[in-house]
Amino acid sequence: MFSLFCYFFLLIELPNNFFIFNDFIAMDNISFVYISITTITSFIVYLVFFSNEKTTKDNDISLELNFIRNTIVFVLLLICITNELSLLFFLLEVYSLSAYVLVAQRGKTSIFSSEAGIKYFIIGTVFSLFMIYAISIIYSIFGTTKIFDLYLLVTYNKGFLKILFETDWAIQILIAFVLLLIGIFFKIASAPFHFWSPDVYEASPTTTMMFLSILPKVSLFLVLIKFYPIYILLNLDILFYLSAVCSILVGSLLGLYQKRIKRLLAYSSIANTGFIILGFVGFSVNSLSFATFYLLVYLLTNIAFFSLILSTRIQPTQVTVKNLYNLANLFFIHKSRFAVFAFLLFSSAGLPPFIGFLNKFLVLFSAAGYFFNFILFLALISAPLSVFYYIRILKLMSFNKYDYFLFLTQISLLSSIVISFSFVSLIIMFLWSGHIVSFFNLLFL
Amino acid sequence: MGISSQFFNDTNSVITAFSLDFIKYLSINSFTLSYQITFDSIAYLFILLTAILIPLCMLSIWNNIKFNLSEFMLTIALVEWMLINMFLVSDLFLFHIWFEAILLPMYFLIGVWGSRQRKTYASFMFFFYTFLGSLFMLYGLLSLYVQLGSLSLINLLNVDLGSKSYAIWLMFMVAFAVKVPMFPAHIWLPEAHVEAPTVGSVLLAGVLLKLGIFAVIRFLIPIFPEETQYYAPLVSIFAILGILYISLTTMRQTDLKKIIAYASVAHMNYVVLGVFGLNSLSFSGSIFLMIGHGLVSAGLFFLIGFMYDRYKTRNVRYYRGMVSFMPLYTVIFLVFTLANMSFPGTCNFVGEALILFGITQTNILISWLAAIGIVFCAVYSIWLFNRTMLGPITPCIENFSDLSKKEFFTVFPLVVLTLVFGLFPNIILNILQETVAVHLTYYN
Repeated sequence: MFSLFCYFFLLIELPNNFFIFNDFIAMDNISFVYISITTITSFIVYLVFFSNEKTTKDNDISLELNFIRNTIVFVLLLICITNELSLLFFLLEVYSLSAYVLVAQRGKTSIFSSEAGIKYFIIGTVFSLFMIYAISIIYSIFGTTKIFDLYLLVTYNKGFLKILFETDWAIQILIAFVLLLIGIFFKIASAPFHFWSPDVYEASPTTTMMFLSILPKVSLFLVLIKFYPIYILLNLDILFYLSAVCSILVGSLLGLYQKRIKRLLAYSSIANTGFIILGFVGFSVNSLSFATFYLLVYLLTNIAFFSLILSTRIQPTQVTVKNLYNLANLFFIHKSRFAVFAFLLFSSAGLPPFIGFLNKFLVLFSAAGYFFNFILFLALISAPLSVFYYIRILKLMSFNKYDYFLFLTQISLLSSIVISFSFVSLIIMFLWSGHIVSFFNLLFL
Repeated sequence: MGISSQFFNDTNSVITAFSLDFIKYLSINSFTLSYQITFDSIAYLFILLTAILIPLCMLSIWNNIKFNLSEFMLTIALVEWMLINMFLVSDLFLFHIWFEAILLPMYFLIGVWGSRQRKTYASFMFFFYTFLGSLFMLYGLLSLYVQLGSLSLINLLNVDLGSKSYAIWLMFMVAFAVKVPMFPAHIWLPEAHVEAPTVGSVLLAGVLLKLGIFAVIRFLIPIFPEETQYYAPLVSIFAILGILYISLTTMRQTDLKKIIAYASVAHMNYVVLGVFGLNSLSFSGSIFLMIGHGLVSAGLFFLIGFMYDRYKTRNVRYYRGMVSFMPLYTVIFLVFTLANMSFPGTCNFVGEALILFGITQTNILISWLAAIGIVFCAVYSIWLFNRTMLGPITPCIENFSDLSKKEFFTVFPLVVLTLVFGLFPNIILNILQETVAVHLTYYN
């Protein structure tokens, strides 16, 4: 955690817009913002992690696992500023290997956990193979693997691209870029490459799920944003749009049937990822700002969710809440937890007047210019579906129909700080959303 | 923060009263919202209606709610806040925000403090019917915004969208039709009313049902006058269907609250008929009927709530001959029943008479069918009163108690207002004059 502070202060000192290490690293305004988002988010995630009482008990802070977590954070920070595809691949591999270990962390005592680890490992390796193959094709055709150089090649030399397309290399280029995209979509659990995430998330410890679902999204969205112009020029932006819409539908539909909190959160994160990708499908200053805003709100909401879940323990056995019915009658047991839950759930559902509505509305509005009718129709269909499973949780908590009463432990001080911080910042973001989004505007070119 | 009051006096459109330009509520890139208020006499009347119903609600729940009273009060306060917002704002986006937002406190109100297990079903029905409707409205909003760049009412008047506006009108009308509720989408209302606590039903019937029609008056007609005239026959058909079919359904109900809930649907469809009658008589009648219906249905739900608090059943067959031991209750129930039936001397009569006069000018067949609807209304109202209040005393009840002081003062203002507005309707009609005149100018 201390190291995170160091990174952040270092970054503030650095001048903007530099390319170092033989162009391996590029820093411009938006990378700076994303890296600061990652830093702050990782800091908060660490706070939540340490506020978890079970951490010391289960030896989660043993030296190796701590080192692996720090590696993950460091690697994700570097991904934000990398300019070079092979470095990107290297960092993603380090991240993935650390993630595999973290998922299977309880493998000695739980076969469920090791099964998830192996699943993630095998599937992740396949997608990493896709990525490395794609990168090698790109190198062989273009002679460079710097993202910025690729962008320059593709934009300034339209003729070059035309020649390429008239030769046999057209298919190879398309395959390369598609496979690259698939590799990244896999990591952020976007449909149709989402199928690993519910199983893996459910079996891993909740703190690990926090690290895996919240942190990479920021860095990898920045990578996607950097790639996006290339894809527009190759007419492959339809892939982004399709993936976004699929994610929204999948996340909404499949989440309806879930009875466990972690799986539900996994599907809701798939749907939210879909919305963020939808946000920058129409590649304009507006839509990117809206997408980043959505990302921020989504991160804070998820952090608050995780803090709530981690701090909610069933009294006699100190077990975390796993199933949805464990949350029953929360309204009568603990009003403030219920209030925060209600706020978060209504916000995730996209109901006014909470900030989630503004999120979704802005993203939909910015995507409306791109391809108006069909997408709005799909998004409008998926909205009530996801609302249903969020509202159902509230029904469980407040409608007094169930005989299940939980005896909860106290929320630790650190957890309450994190939760209140997220809560308040969400409210503040609602009031200042104009300022925040215009701030982002200044940064995106 | 500047306060500017402007009278818009174009040749084609007049916004009644004035509009206050409050803080720049939200400005994100090109998307700015300012909390502008349009305060005409219709909004004035509805805010008064809200303002009189909410304290009565709070009065009625003092000793009735068995758990979480403070949260209940909070929910009512939230409902009131959102209602007043809805009646004031003149920006369509803000209106949509409050339109959807009010579902949340009502969801909790019905689900947490409802009386039977069916409350979950009712709560979800209410929520999702209205939510789906407002999704259509969101779609229409986005279409408007993409084409016009702003959603403020002042900017939206006198706008020409071409043939797309017909589809947008339909989108909006679906949302409002679910809220009214009109015929195919009315099923949520009996469920929600029956399972809600007394206060929930009062608020739902008293004010929330008016929201759909208020939105039509405030937004739909000024922005799309030609499309309204184009679609008026279609909407009238659904309204008539609603009136006749639902009045017939009401006659077979055995749950006290369901009878009044279905009666609410029928009255609201009357109001829709009046609004789409396209002349000043029926328009003023529709507003009058809305006020009247707000008072009368609220009173009826309060009374039924008193019954339920005492005897824990809403089944009609258990009640008979209540007049012998609850005469005060019977008198008040009689006043409200006659009002429900639009008996002359009560405010509903003025409303329905004006609507009928107005519709006769437009289309005689519909006015005949509507008059038959009034007869049906009389049937179920008088029959309800007859079988519950009159006759030999029911053997099912042993301990009777007439209205307590608190209960009496909960319904007494509504009785007084019903009779006063029925006998001196000019109190309201004078207020409405300007607005109705303005409204007519939309139909060139």
